Amino acid sequence: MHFVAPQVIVKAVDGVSFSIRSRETFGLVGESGSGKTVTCRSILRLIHPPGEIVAGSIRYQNRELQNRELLTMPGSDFDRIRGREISMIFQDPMTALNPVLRIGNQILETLSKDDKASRQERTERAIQLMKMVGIPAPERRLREFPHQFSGGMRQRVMIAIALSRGPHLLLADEPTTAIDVTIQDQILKLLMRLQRELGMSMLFVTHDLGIVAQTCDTVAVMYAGRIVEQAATMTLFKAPHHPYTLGLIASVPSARSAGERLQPIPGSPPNLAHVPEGCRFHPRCAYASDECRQGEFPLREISPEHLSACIKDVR
Amino acid sequence: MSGKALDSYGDAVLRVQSVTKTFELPLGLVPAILRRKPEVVTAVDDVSLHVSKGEILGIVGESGCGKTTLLRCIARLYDPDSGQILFDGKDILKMRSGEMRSERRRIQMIFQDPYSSLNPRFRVGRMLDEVLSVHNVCPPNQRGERVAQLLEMVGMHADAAHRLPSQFSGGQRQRIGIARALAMEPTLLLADEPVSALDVSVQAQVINLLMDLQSQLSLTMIFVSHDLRVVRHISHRIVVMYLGKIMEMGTTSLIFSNPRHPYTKVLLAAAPQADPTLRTEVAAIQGDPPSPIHIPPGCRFHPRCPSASQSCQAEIPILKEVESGHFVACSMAEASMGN
Repeated sequence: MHFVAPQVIVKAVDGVSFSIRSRETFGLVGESGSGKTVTCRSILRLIHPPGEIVAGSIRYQNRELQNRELLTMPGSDFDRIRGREISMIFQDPMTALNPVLRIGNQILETLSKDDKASRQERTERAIQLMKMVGIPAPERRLREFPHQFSGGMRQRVMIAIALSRGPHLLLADEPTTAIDVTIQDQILKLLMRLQRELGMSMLFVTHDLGIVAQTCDTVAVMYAGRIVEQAATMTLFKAPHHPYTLGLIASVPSARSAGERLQPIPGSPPNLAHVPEGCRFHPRCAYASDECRQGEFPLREISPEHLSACIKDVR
Repeated sequence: MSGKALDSYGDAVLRVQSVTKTFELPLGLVPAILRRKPEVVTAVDDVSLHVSKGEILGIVGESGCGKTTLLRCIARLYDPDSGQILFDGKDILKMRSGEMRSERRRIQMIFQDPYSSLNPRFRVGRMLDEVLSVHNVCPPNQRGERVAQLLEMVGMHADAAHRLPSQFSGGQRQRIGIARALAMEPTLLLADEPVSALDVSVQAQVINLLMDLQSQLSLTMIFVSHDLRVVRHISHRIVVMYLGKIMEMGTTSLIFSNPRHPYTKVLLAAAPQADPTLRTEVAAIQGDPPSPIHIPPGCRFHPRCPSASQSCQAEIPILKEVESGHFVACSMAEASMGN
């Protein structure tokens, strides 16, 4: 997935591969510009010009659909995937809802896509969905507009819309970033409960290691458009391998660090139009050697199910 | 009440006493014609606190709790409706503009958004030179040297003076914002969510910088943030606010090891821990915070409080000292103390 800017090609995501298992919550964590959102949006073909997916494939399967390739699928076929098989909730619930449509109509709009049910039945389904995501008095609130909802309630509406057609995979792109901590806690717990109850898979994009630790089964850490480490959440926090992951974990203030100096990663992430040669992290890496400045380093398995792109063993 | 206990801190650089700040909401056309009274939001409601010399006071709370409004009142960017703000014993709210201008030099602010708080058309050197000249902090022939010194202090190269803000990353811009505040050689630094807009790896750098500068220059600082992890890391003492009032106040170790107010407990439980072995399944609290226009009677936290009783609906709890240096505004926490 590359963006073609007037003068330069920005490789927002460069050679990223991963797979999400059934009923799994897969976390993509990284800082701004690491390519996590672009990766997530690519799955639903939500990349707009000048952005372009130049290579790769995205395969999807469930019981009925065997191993379909999403990127090359004809648009009419893809309409049956987007929203029904795979749906998405976005970062900002303030702008993702249409301000001039009643909440009920926005939920009914997605339900009308494939339902042969009557309007009455669909309204009942909408009420049921709103109850499921914990919106009180759904019969009344159905007739209200987005501005009458708080940020947390709007995000619940977004979740109701995303779940309305019973998707098997939910993409959540920083769903709690714009929300206060107590409401964030509610939304995270709601998503985890729904995922379990509905047996969905979830791709969770976030910059917050705390959220990853609380919600994800498997995590991929992204840096400058690449996955640098991937492991089960427990393993990643207990035995991080890549120096970038180590640095990220050490950067988060914790009970242990109170009052002491943090151990930040020096410098800042590279401009993606001019990524460093060799390992992309080497200019900021304390362990970098000459070897790191040459050649590209693919992910390698350092222990079962634990992948790292670092050629050293710095632990 | 707490006033007496607060007075016992003799070395307070800043003393905020019963400060209240309200805002009138804009009227729609029809209510304006009908001459209805506008609705009023009490953003900060009868808040008293002090900051000792060389101390970092953290203020935490969710959006709408009044933390930023309080900070802006202290910088006198807002004029409070009532109360006193004593800076080195003098009430800055009573100062005339000339006097305020010289005091303002000693109270400097760092803003949240490093993208909008720097003039995009001023080179960094000119920006710093301007503050130095307006307040006549150093003689014109030494300003260039001072600019270089300031940039070095915040960990930047002196060459940065010749560049525009757009040529810097968010973290570097925040460093420039800090240099601008330090140019005045302030006594009191007000930091309004200074690391919220930054990525974690860069956030840690700026936190370290602020802590280093604070100890090198023996600055007094108020650090406002919604992020408990950051506030815990940096602050000596913490104030927890909810809908315009202080719920709990105490040293950082007391607030975290022995939180007494139910709201503080909820805040602590809701913050996602970066440790997968500490997972919880149930949300720390249900419901949304009420609208600040219609604040619940009695304790404003009672509709969401897990341990609220009948009396909480009627009486507004007063901030009381429950142990040395630990203040709580909750009648239930007090009751449990007696047992």
